[in-house]
Amino acid sequence: MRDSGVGKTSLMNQYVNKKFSSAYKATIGADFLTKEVMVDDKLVTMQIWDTAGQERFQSLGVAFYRGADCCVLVYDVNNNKSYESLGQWHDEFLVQASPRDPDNFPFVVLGNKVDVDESKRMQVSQKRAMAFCQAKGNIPYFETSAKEAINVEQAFQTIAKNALQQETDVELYSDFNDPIRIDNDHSNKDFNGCAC
Amino acid sequence: MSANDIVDKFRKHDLCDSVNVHMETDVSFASYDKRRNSKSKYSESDQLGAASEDFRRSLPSHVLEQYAEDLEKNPQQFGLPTPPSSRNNSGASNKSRRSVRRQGDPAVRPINTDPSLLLHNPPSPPHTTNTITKPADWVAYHQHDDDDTIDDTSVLSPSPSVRRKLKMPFVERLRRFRSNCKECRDEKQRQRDQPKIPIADPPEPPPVVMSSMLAGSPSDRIQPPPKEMCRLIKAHQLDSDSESASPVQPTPTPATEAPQPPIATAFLSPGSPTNDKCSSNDSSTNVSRGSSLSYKPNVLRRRNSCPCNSGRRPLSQASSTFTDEIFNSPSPTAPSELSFTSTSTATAVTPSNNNRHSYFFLPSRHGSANELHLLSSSSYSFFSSLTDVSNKVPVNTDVYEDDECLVAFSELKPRTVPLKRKTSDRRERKMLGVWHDSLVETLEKYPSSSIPSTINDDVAIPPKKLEKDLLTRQFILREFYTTEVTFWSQLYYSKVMFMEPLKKSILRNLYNVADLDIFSNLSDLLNYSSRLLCALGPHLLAKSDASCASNDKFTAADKIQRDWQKHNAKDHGASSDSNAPPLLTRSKMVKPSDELLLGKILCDMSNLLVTFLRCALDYKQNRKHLSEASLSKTSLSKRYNLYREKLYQRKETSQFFINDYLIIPIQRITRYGLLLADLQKHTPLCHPDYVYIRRARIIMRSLAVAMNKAQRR
Repeated sequence: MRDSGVGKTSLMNQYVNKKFSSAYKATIGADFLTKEVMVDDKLVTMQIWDTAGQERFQSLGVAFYRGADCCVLVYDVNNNKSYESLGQWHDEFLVQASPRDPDNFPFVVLGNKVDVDESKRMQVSQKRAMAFCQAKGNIPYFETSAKEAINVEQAFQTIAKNALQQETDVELYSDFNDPIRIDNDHSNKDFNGCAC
Repeated sequence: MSANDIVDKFRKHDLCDSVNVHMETDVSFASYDKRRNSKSKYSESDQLGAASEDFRRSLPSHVLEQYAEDLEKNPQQFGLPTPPSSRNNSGASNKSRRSVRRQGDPAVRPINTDPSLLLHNPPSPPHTTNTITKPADWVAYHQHDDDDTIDDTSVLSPSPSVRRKLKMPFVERLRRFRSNCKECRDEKQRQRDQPKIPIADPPEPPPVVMSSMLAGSPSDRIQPPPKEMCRLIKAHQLDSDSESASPVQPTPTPATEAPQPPIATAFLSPGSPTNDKCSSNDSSTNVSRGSSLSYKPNVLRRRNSCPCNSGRRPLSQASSTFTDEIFNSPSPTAPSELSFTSTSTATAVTPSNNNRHSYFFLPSRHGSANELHLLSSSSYSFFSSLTDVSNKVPVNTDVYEDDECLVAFSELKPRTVPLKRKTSDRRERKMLGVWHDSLVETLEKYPSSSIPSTINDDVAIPPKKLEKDLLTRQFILREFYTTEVTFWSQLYYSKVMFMEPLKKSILRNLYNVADLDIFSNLSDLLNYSSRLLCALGPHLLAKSDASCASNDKFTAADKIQRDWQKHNAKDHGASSDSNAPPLLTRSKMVKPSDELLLGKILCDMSNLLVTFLRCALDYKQNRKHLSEASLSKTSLSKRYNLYREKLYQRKETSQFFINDYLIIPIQRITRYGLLLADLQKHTPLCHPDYVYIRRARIIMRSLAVAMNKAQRR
């Protein structure tokens, strides 16, 4: 288990660049990455923001939350704490971003690091995660692994789709832009831990 | 476009090295005001463009020579924006000037100034980075304007009378031009411009950013930068020989740019092409004219109340002319570097000397600091000049650790580009206080004495781990550098794509001067980033010979670069090892040796970090401003949205808009924190940089805390 967070940056990198850097785990990566996706025969440019490093500074996230079309919460399936704070981040996001329609704002929950060995694994069972997602209004849930590229593609496809739905509701710059911010849950609450 | 522009330009250019970049805005406004008054002789003959063309021809030959010389020395400035460290190669005169400055340039704080480091890689003054790019714009625009106007009026050569006037002494010209009536001119101008005003087309993004954005992820950062960039630079280099404007101008190209009207006041908003709107435009012109003139006192007022400026007694001629320098056009006696001179005297005192002067008389808010191993500046000098102004709010004392200054709060510089909207210093000071408190607190929590003494521990570490750590460290350092380059180019992109078009719009009275507030931190940020790059570059960039041998993969890029360097060397007789443009260097990045003390560099620059705090402070307001701009129903916001849409439609620019620019500096600080944390983890305790990395990390962290707090409220 990496002590450097739940793998937001890795997920992003895996999705956009099809790469997983295990040689050096705490890669900082870009502020944001963009990727073009086809959703329902439409080419959408997805802009994914990575909030790595800001977990301890909750208010800094405000900068990212506003204007987001979709929020991706990531937790580490091997880390109970990271799961428990999901709800907190969920609410935090809604407060900070204050979307127009908070009940229907698209969230996606990703349980990362399912590749970790069975024996050490699954502190957070799929059931519990599903229950959480149900409670918060049917949030799509994926178990992913940035390392093995499990489910990453599907997860982001869903993200794009949901974001686009939101977008078409709003009817702004419909086809051109579709910024999606990945802002993530994070487990390291203790001070000494590496921030990423 | 009046002759004064050109004169200004040349004067500015002359002073490129000495005039701080933060004058840029003020200068352009000042000259703008002047221009309003002085457009004139041309107005009678409607030969403005031709006239200014002619004026250029009629310039005293030595000015042109100087210009050409500069062009030769700094060819980059006329084309591709190269980050600052590439300018280490500027000619001998530059160097001497720089070295003079260095004596007075305390590199922010006395401690940690390793003179050998400085001398070895003279960080080219980052201010010039910005200034330096300016001529390119100017050249482009002037030429463009000229062509434009010539086409308009079908006048190909200026009348003899104009020519005669142009040969007058400058002052005389100023005087006469001012006396001319501009109303009739405005009318004509308006009629002429009216039918052909398009929505401002977004300028071409700077190629640096384009490539870095198209390259997608910095995680492929082992990849060399796109080759076309190398080519651009090269091509550009060649072009500059013939002193022609480069075809690869990174700055707005004439083709995509709305024709710039020579007279700002006469320009119409495209949303109002009809005649009745004309009249309304007229009135709005007047209004905004008034406002643009009246904002100055505002700025001045703000300046005066700024703690760092007013609290200081006149230390030197430089600092006493400080304010003047900012608000007037460049004076020939410009101090070498304004932002440095303002602290020069203060920092000349060594830290070991406990009589360190602090120019603020302050009750130590944090007396507790003294009880620990932290030393706060121990004695305060009290200058009578301090007490008069509104400066009685306590400012933080410097924070010391082990006799070395971490952040000299008393020496923080004021914004180089002051905000135009009304703000209170109070908030900023409060946040500085948060920063200070958090810094002190963290230092108490993790005192340096808790670091185990190193020598014994080191033996225990297996060599394998040491080796691995070294590799990781090198990786992190390189990552630090590449992300910093990205950061720099994003900032530069913001400057070229947003700030400069906005400035131009403001000159045309389309937008409020206060809109520029969004960018008030930009030049400071660029300054910080480029200084950092300058400091890092020499350690990370390969000397050409070494890299040829080691890197087969990138021979093409190498070759281009070598050519480039040869070319440079031929031109300037400069040694070829220092000119590698950093953006070319991904392929040529070498493993940094242990001589690169990143932590130290960051600690040395800690005072400049206040800019980031200001970004965070301004963020909310800026954000609000932008969303108002996009939501309101005025014609201006229509333009704003159109511009935005235009950027979206272009593939290479679709990913980055002003909102993103606002976030990026905030995010950068937390990234510094991450990188430093990693670096610290992989640095052995005995490493000379360890203590600095630790400090830098603490500084960044506490800064992030303050920025975080600034967002709240």
